[in-house]
Amino acid sequence: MLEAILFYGFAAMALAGAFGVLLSRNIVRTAVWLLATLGAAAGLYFLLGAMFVGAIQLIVYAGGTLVLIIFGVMLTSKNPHMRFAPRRAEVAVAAVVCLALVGLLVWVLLHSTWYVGPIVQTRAQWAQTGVNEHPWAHDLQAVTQFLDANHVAIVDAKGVPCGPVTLAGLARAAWYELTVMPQGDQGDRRQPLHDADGKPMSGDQLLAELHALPPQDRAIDDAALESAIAALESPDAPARTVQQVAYACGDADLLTDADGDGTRNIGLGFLGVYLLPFEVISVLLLAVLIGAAYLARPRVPASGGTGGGR
Amino acid sequence: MVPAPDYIPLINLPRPIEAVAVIAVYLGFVSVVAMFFIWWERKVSAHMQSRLGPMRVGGWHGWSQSLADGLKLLSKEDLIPDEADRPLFRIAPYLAFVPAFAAFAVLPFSAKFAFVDVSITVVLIFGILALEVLGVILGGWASNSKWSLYGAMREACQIVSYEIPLGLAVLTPVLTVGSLSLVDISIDQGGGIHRWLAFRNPFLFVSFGVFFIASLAANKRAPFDLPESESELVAGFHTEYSGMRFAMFFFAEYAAMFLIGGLAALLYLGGWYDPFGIVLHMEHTPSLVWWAALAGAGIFVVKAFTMVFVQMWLRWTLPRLRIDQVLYMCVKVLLPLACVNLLGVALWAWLFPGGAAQLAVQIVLTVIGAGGAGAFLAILVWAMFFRGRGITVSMLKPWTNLLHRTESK
Repeated sequence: MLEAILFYGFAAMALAGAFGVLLSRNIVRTAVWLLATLGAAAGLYFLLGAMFVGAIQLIVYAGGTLVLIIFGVMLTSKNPHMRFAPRRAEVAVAAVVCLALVGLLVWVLLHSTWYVGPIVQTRAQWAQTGVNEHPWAHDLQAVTQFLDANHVAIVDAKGVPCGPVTLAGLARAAWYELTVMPQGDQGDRRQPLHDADGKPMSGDQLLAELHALPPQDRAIDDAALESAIAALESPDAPARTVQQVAYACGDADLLTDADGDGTRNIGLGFLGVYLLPFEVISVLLLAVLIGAAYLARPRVPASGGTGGGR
Repeated sequence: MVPAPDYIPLINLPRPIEAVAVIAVYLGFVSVVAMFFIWWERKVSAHMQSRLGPMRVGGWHGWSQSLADGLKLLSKEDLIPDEADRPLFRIAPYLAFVPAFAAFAVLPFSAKFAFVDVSITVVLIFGILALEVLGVILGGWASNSKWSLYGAMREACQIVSYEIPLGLAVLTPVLTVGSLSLVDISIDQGGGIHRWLAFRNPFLFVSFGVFFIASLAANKRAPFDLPESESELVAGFHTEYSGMRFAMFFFAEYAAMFLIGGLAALLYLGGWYDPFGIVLHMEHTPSLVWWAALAGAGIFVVKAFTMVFVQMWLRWTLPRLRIDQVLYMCVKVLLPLACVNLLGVALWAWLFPGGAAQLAVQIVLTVIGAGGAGAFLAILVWAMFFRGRGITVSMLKPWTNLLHRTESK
């Protein structure tokens, strides 16, 4: 309920801000409308549980980029109430770029798989949703049965047992747990293992699968892996809190890890899989920095007449 | 079967009502603290200049001066200049105040009093504080006054530059503890003053200084108060503001002073732990957990207030820098220092993962740091003891005689 209110509130704010940017002719007011949109986007990230992305959105876009934009406007505009008067050609170019972007977004929207089912619920809510007709229901029941059979309960922040969670989420959570977390890091994060089809998985099976991976895809070595699996399978690991599982259980977990925010995964992505693109982008920023330094350097009068200096 | 949860609700209320109650308590706390700081700053400045400051309103030492000022500001006319950009002029004070207040939500007071405990509090708190600058810039721009615009431009310039050393300085405790949560960072510092992060290794010791200076600049406190420098720009970005809107800029600044003091305490000065490890011991005794939480919150507030006092002390001691000096300080002093610190902390963790050398360094640094603070306290006590006996003249006579000997001959 509250989440729905917040979601629609932030969505409305983002839309209103976007239209404000579009319709406002005063350049500083445009920046303020943009602030509304950026802040609302950060709020939506927070609602998704992607705390890190939300906070970085605030720091980089709302706090950094926007300040620079306003700064630039204040420095360049001669008239405090300067208004936009775009030329035809500019409108045409902007229209082409924007239509291309909209097309791309719509294409992504239509071609993505969206998981719309419940993420983590109490058992009573679970029974009311009629989720048994959901295509994933079979898998979910299998997971629930497995959890019950193994005396595993998933509890929320106040210790109340929760209902079933999605299979893919648990499988992925188990996966991240093993590939991401050093063994012995936080002993209470153990959870049941599943393979990609949702069947309970023994330690040996998982071990075999992980051994088959190329070494660069694994974050821990074989010995640590084996002890981690031993820890996962130990019978005295009965409960996990919902913060550790909930956000890993939806489909939105590319941004999230078992802690409820995506910090660890983002770090692994930047310094692992996507290291090269990340570095290439940082070279771009370096070029911008050098360009700024070049523009800001003191104009040295040309010595010896022609040639040097500007 | 189900183990006891970590989280014990303070009061057993439905979640939305609990949230509203917590917000009400926070709003009250922030307002009272900000008003107290305004009174305190006037007292500190007065005593540093051999005056008494406000003495009349209320009873003891004019304690309700801030309340009276608040009433006065509430009843004042809300003036908006003719040529101002009216909507922006109106919302700018809120844009400055709301982030400063919102950041309190993620500030933990002790292990139990951490109302929103997400695992990335450090990033979140700086994300929220980064928004505060927009209120100042928009207020300055929307006023359509040259003084205000100059103040706003200085603010933008200053904040954007000082966020870099500030961020790099904050990374050093994060790197040492290995967590982005203020609660985790604090818990790592329990068990005695030598565990405090400022005394962990030389790089963190320097990093604390970098953090403190950069945070002064980020909150536009003297000697970095160029955005409002009253001797050049009338009142800088809030020249055109009056009444309650003017007061909101002030509330934002003083609330942020507490935030910055609290962050310094949490990141470097042991969080809510006392220097002797008593609170840590209490936290591990099940019957004393709540007492530990209360005592910890008290210790945290005392530390934050101490850092706020240092901010006031600096404001009334140091002259204001010029804008080129401000940028020189950032780009050529703090930024390289912060980078070296970051590398140094990483190297230190790699070279000395623990053991006798680490402990020896901690003890030496503790002695230096605590000795400095002790010497300061001793001077303070000495000054209070000799207050009113003309210390400046009679006590310093031998030295002034030395200085003037050549003149008198």
